[in-house]
Order: sequence, then structure tokens, then C-alpha cells
Amino acid sequence: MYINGLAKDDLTYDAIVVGSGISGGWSAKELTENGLNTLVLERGRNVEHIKDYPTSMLDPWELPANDDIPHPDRQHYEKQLRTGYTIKESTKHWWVKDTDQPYEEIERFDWIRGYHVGGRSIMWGRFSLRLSQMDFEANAVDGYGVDWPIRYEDIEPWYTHVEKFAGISGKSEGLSQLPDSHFLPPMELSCVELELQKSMKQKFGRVLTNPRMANLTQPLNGRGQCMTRNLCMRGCPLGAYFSSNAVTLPAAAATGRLTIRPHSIVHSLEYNESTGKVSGVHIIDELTGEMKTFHSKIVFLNASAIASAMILLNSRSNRFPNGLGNDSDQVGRNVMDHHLQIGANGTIEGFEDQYDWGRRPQGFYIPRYRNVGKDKREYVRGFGYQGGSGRQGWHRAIAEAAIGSDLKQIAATPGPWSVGMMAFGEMLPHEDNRIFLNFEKLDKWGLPTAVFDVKFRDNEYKMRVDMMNDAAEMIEAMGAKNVSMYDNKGAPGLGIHEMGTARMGRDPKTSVLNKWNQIHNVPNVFITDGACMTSSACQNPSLTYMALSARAANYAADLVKKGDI
Amino acid sequence: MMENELKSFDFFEVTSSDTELITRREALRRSGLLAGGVFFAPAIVGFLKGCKATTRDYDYIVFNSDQVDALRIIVDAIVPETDTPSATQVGVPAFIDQVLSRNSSKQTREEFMVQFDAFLEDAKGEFGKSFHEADSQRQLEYISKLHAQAVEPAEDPVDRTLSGFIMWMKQLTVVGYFTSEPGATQVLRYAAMPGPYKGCVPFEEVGRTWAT
Repeated sequence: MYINGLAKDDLTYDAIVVGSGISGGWSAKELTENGLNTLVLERGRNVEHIKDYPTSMLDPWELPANDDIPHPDRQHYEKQLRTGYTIKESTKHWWVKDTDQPYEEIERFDWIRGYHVGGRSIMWGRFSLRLSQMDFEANAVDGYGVDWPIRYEDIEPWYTHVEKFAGISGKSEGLSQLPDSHFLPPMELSCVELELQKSMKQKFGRVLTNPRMANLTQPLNGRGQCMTRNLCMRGCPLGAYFSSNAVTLPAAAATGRLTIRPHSIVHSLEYNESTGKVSGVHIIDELTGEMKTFHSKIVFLNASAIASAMILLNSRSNRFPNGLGNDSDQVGRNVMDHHLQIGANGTIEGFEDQYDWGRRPQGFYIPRYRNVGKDKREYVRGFGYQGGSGRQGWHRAIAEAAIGSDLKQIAATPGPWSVGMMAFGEMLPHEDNRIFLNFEKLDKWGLPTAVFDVKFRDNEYKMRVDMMNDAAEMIEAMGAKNVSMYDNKGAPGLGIHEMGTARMGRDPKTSVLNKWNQIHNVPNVFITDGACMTSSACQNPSLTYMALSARAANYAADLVKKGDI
Repeated sequence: MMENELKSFDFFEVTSSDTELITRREALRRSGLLAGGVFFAPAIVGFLKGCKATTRDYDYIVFNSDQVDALRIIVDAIVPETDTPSATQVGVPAFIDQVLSRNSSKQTREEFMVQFDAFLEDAKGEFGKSFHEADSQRQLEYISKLHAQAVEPAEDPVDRTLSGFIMWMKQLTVVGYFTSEPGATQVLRYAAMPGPYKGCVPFEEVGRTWAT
């Protein structure tokens, strides 16, 4: 691919895509494959697949003490450290330094992110789940938020389209609330998980299915099969999981119509009153501080839910004094994530002659069953579970009453099996859950910073009672011992599924985007990252961002080709 | 959510940081180390590799040479040489020095040194000479006694300062040892590239606990 930035910039393209993560990569692929010369603006550095994964092949003993970052460095990652798993010596280069990228919190919000080509498609969890008709109808049925302007049948072909190219492994179950994807063969369940699956079916009529994830269980388009190292977050030298770097950007580059410009921080979009469209994208060069303006027929915002909203809010004009496309005052509102860190675990007797082989990079999934069919709860919507199992490892030697050669023996013998699950619950859209810009507090490039005022509310808290109890009940029902429950409320953002800040809807008065992800009154700007989500469902959202990006990009490319835009 | 999302949460969690002070069996139980909580341990790793980590080539930052001598005796009591190497042989004393100097807060580091000093002081009272100069059998008995106090709580309350220090040392030693190359590959089973995941295999096919 052509990296723009060193030589003299070409300033005019057919399309500009802001952001190179999961959704931006798909926008770029579909636009270029439709014949559009496309510029991808990425605010961070370039990351070349394989070459720029510096820690991907390191063995445990090749990393500094415990893979922990040096203590003095922790001050740079105060917020990014909140997950507990993102900032390691082997992965810290993928995450922003909070000292460089400040934001304010009226209510705690964990905005966990990385700025580089590929964005969070490098570090994502890879769980890939379709939304269902129930999810697209939910707002209309119970009255929270606004109605989605699309239904399952609108997105279904695009799910299939992206799944075939991304490569999603999983097992078909024929459930209406969690439609099957176009699957590669599933990764296996452990013997204990199979027991749990059987028990859940018999005692509750509930389904436990194999992980549905963007890890290849067969080679695909020159990418390698997953070797179950479970080091995905470092970047995969085999290209065995989906990332922009391994999958969509190379495809876009193969058309000869892709230009990527790293170090390009989008300042704002320039609105042209005479055409009623956006005519330019203003950027700040991250390295030189220089401002430039690029022009195109269409613009795709794929900067992430929060950043895309920030760009709109900073794009002020006479026509849009409160931010581009913000006639409805909905830009930045309805921030959603999933609420999680709640569930149960227990130990299983038996199976001591069994073990598993490899480090499966994701856990099993229990699709939503609450408020499905005849089940009615005192809250709306529902939750699914991700879970796992395994035998206790060598750490148990610390607590065992042995030192010396006995300790080695204990460490070398795996302990009993444990099984556990954690719920991911739907979060309702709420106008007062919002981000806005602080124009007084500027970042080091002079851009206004974000202020978060987002919190979980009654429906989430009511749902959490079931999220915890059901987990314990299902684990207990299979005969597990030492069943314990946990509930760490955390804060929105911790799911790293932020969405909803420029929602799709039918009415320009109450939504930002139409059914093609097009800003209602600015027809050449499309937003297909998490910002567009009208409701959160309880499924991990990335697959939906991929499908909506591909769908909107094909629609937009058609408009360009017909000269309609 | 990101990579290892589940593994970071409670039911997979070992401790919030393996370098934190955990001194008592109760604390271990609460953190999930004893009953049912631990599996899929996060890829806890050490820096130990080759000769770089041996005491000969490592310049200690936190410990003086007497302390290093004492440290070696303690870690080798916890993980001795058998048909596989001892803790000292794989560089655990250097690992501990680095965890304390590089990865710990000043407060944690100072707390460790206070407890270490108390341990050495008490040993001196017991032996009538410095811990590292005492008879090796008596050193081992002393460590074993404190360890037993920690893992088998007595009926009557006892001062846990010294037994707590031994548990702290045990934790650092176990983590340092089993994330070293010899610990991970000779005592445990390590596979850099396991290949396709198999959910259920006879234990003999693996034979030992997985290192990661």
C-alpha cells in the first residue's frame, strides 16, 4: 500500500476514511474494491502486519519481570490500566498514554484505546456474534431509545459477506435470538464444558455453544490457521485472527486505490453551505503540527464511537453551530457499553485423567435466554455469558502446604478442573449518558478534550441480579463445588464496546444517521463505527460494525458511481 | 472487549499482581488461589533467560551481598535442586531483585526490606550468627517452621510477620521459577505453538502442568 506523508500529499480523493480499525478497514476495502480512490487517515503510527508485532514471538522468559511494566511507567496509563489486562510489557505499545490523551470524567468512564494503523482490531477480543431480529426490534417494542431504521434482513447478507472474508469459527445452533454465522469449524469444548452444556440443556433448556470468534480453524486466503498460542493481543504473525492489518487493508491495497496517511489527526470536517455537503477534512500532522485539508466526494467516519462524535462536535459552522449533523442534539448522547464483570465459578470433581491441549483463545458462549420467548423479567433486554474451564495450574503450589521437592511435584501436577462464566449485559440508550467537548481544556495538538457523563442505571442493576444468580445456579446444577459468585460493578467503558453517540434512526429530529449510516442532512458523510448503534444488544458488537461498514460503503460507492453525490 | 478479556476477571484471576504482598492463607483463599479460583493463569512471565539472569552476571540493585546470600538460601529451600535446577540456578534471586527494583512501588520495596531485615534479625537471635552463615540444616528447619506457621494456622494467634515474609518469598520464588525457561520447560510442559486446540485429551499426552 502507498503510505502518504513523506512525499508531497495528494489532496483530492474519491473517498476519505477516518480511522483504520475494524470498521475503517472494512470501509476502505469495500470502497477501493468498488473503484474509489480512497485515503485512510490514521491518527497514529503505521503498523505493518507481522513486521511491526515486536513481541509476538517472545517466550515468557524473554519478557521482563512478570510482563509487568516498570512501576514508574504506570503513571502514564492511569486509566488504561483499569482493565487489569491491557497494559503489559508485551502489549503496552498498542495503548494510548493517558498523559498524552487526557479526558475528564463526571462519572467514571474507562476509555480504553490505541492509536495506530489497525486500531483496536489488533487487540480486540475477537468474539463475533450477530445481532438478531429481536435486537433490531427491541427499542420499538419496549420504547427505550428510538427505533432502528433497519431490520435483521437488511444486514443479514452483509453479515455473511464479512464473515466469509474475515473467517469466523463457531457452531450453528439455529437460534433466533443469536443467528448463526457463516462458520469455519468450531474450536472444541473441554470435557467439563461438555458436561456443563449437557446439564444446561437438560435442566434449563439453555444452550452453551463453542466460541464464535474471528480466529481461523482452517487456512483462509493465505492466512494461517490458529495455533492456539493465545497471544493474539501482541499481533499474530500467522494472520490467524481478523485484524485490519492482516485482512482488510491488504485487500484494499491490492486494488491499487488505497492510500494510508498515518500521523493524521482529524481536526474537523469542513461544511460547504452552497453544496450542503462536506467538502474537506482538516487534519493536524501529529509529527509536524502542520494543518492540511484533504478533499473527497464522500467521507466515512470510522474513528471510534467517541472520537467520531468528537469530530462532529468540533466541526462547527453557521449551518451547524452545535456540531456537524447535530440538528437533533443527539451527537455524543446515548453512550452505551456492556455491563459485565459479574458471574460465578466453581470446581468440578472428576476428569482428573483428562487435560486440554493448547490455549484456546476464547471461551464458550451462552446465548441470551432472558426475556426471550415466554420468559419475562422485571427488566427489559438481557445478557449472554462468556466462560471457560481449565485445570488449576502451577500457581496452586504457592498456597499448598509444601516447599522443597514436594512443591515441584505439586506444581507439575495440575489441580482440579474449574469452570466459570461472566455475563455481558445490554445497556439501554439514555440521552443523559453523554460525552461533550471541553473547549477550554485542549490537548497537546490544540484540540478540545472529551468529558464523559455516563453511568449504569436501574435496568442494568436489575438485570445484574439475574446475571450473577443464574451463573451460580447453572454451575451448581452440573454438580460443581465451591461455587462462588462475584459482582464488580466497574464502570461503563470497561467492556471496550463504547457505542451509540451518533445513532441511526428514522427521524432526523431524534437521530443522527439514516438507514444507510448517512448523516440525515449531510448526505456525503457516513458513520459506521460504534457511534451508529441505536441499541447495544448484549452481543459483542464488532461483527455488526463490519457488516454495517460494508453495507454503507457499497451503498455510498453506488451513489458516487451514479453521480448522485 | 479485548484479548484475554475473561482471563482478567475474577474467576480467572490469580492476584491483581503477583508482586503484591500476600502473606496469609486466608488472603490466598480470598484471592482464589486455593479454592476453585485459579486456572488459565494469565501468561505470567519472567525475564529469566540464559546467563543474563544468573547471579554472577547480574548487578543487584536492592540487595547487598549478604542479603543475596540469604536470598539464595531461602529460594533454594522453597525450590531446591532435584533432577531439575534449583531456584538460584535459574536466577530467581535476580528475578526478585528486579521485581522489587523495577516493578514495585517504593512502599512495597520498603515493606519487603523491613520484613527481610526482621527475618534476618530473628534468625540471628536463633542461631547466634548471621542466617547465611548458619548450618544449612538449621536454615532449612527455620524456614520450614515459618512456612508451616503460614499454611497451617495455629489455634492461638501468633505473630505472622516472619511467616508472612516467607509466604511473600514463596510467591515470588514460585512465579520467578516457573516462568523461567528451565522451570517452564523441564518441570512443567511448555508449547510455544500448541497447534489446534483439543478440549479433552488423556492426561498422559501432556504429562505435566502446562506452563502457560
